Amino acid sequence: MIDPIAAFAIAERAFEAANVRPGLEACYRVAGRVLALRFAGTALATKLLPAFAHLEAIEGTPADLTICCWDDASSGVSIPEPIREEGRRGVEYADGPVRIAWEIEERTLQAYDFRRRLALFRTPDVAELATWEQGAPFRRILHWWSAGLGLQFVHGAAVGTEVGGVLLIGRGGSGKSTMALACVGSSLGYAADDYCILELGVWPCVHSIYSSGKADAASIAMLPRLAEAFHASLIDQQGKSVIFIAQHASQAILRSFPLRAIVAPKIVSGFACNAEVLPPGEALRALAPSTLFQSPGDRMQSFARMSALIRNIPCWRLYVGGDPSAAQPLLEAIIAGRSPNP
Amino acid sequence: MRYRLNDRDVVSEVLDGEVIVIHLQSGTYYSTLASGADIWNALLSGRSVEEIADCLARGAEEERAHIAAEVARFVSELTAENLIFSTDSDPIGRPNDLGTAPAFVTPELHKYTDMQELLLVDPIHEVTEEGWPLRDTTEQ
Repeated sequence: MIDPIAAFAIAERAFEAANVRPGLEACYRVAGRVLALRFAGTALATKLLPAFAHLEAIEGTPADLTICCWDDASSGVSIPEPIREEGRRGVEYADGPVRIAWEIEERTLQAYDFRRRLALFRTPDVAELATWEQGAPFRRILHWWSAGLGLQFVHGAAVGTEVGGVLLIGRGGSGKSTMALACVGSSLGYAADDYCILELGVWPCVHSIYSSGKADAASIAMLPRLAEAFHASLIDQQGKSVIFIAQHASQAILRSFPLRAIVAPKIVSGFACNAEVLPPGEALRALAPSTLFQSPGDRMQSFARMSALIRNIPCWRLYVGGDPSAAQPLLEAIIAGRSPNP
Repeated sequence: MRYRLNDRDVVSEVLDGEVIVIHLQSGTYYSTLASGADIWNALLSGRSVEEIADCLARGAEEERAHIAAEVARFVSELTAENLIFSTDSDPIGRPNDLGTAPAFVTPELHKYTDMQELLLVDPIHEVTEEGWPLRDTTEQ
């Protein structure tokens, strides 16, 4: 048996052993804090850094979170792994002052030491790194770290302007990614298509983490402004194409904005768009389950934070037809505090 | 009989009169309104099924027996879904008075299973502080 504290210590020593040659370090500002990413070698950095390339690069400032990353294959350094039961999938998760998540099928380790604000990310072979990990790296670590600061990592897309924006919520396939990607090249900036961090309080804020965007073939057909970008994109395990907006439309990126409203898109037939007030209970049902079921740790506090947010912010249901760009004037009206319907 | 929240696996919130309950292990979530929300809140404040039925019957035209049966059925449903557990312990302190009974409507528990596939694809297995048994890496 190995307990989480011992597992972290072994993994930390493995990173130091893997990092004997000068590796690569990149620092970014995320949610107003400094995130330092240390890579043993460059192979893994090449895969994971594009998701953060839109963030403000920082030099010479102490980190609020350091993530040490390596892969066994290119570093030649391995760590002991848990026994894998036949047919078992998902994640093995240990709570506590040191948190550990083992992705069973991917054999990836994510670990976080709260006291030292030090995290470890290890994957067996960078060549086999899942595309979803490239699109949204370190999700579990960023959830644990941000929760420790009173922030909330959420499953949601986000678009807006510097004076305000909306959080788009709903389960996978609800249309939030398509609607967010349809805003690229419009008057609304792009902060997230799947995950972002919320700073709660009197004036809640959305903070971008990743510049990635995902779409299936049907959605790509509705996104003519991104057709070229998706043409040569990564394909994830669900058959969705993954692009990095920073590489194709960096001017569309918005790193943070005040949150003005929550919007739950619903794809409908036809081409008309309209909106209706969304009862807070429905909004919580659209936001909380999909966030909580993906995020082990701090779930009670996370649920309370999401509930508190929804109590204090307007929530809308937005019906969107075959042209998601037609929703932009409605989103602009919602952000401005006007009625979105004529 | 009194009940308590299955607080190891379940989180709940009341928003604008609607109770939202999420079972974190099963991937199922629930909502209930009106008398369902009244019963949920009264149960979690330490009221017994009998006390809740008595209170709701005071403000309703229906027979007390009918209301008591509906409350018992609703509580059984909550128990069957592992959202609450029966408890022998008395509530800490005297529960607040339930106040004026709201109009009784048949309580309904709306159950949502559309997110279960997320947990089936990527289930979370919580391990104890003892940790994990290790694999013999020489097997590879």
